[in-house]
Amino acid sequence: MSNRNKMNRGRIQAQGIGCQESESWTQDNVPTKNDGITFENALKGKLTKKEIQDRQSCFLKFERFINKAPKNGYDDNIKSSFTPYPPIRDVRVDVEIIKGRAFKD
Amino acid sequence: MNVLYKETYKNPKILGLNMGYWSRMLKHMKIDNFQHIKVDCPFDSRKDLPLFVCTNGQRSLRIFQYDVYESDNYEKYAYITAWKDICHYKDCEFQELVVCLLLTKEYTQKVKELIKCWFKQEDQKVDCIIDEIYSLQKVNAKK
Repeated sequence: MSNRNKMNRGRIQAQGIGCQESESWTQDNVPTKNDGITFENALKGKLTKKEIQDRQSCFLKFERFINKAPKNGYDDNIKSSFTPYPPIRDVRVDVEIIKGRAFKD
Repeated sequence: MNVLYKETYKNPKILGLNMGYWSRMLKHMKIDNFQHIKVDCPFDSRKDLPLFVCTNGQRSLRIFQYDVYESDNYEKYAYITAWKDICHYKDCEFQELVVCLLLTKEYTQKVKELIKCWFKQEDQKVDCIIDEIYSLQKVNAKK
């Protein structure tokens, strides 16, 4: 089965001021909340200290987003963006659930 | 600084009024093929999701609103930003404009102008307004 046909697809991205790194998932099982934290850390691993520092509050909001997900996870076609307090241009962390569900208990 | 709909994330009634406000504003702009995309989620996860999403079939718009009770020293800093992006909806790809703001009169005026230009595909003006928004943020860099 090609990756595009897998049931659950999505990605988190660190974007803004020259940064564009992402971590994606394509899998048959719905990613759990713990998987979400793993994706987040895999993404952080691709960033410099400064890029992580600029997005510290973005990652905290992303974790809250995961923890507040319904028991069976969020639906697809959800895209959210987490910006720092206060905002700095287009600096952000994006999450996009492209197909299936994500972040179940 | 007078922030409108302050209790948006505390009170579902205010959240509904706030969403209605954006819906009304977009309808007044008379955008062809306007479609409001509803985001289904529990009330307590609202603040981490867009407040309002819409499309005209070619371009889309996502609006986020900061929670005034979480926005650190909001009277001192500029709580408004915007960028252009690509998004996927029902297997289609759209160019999208994303706006995050605290709802004040001044910011709303700026964003209204930006949204109008976005759906009219006046991309140079869109870039200019986004630059103006970024210049408001100079004070944020000093944090």
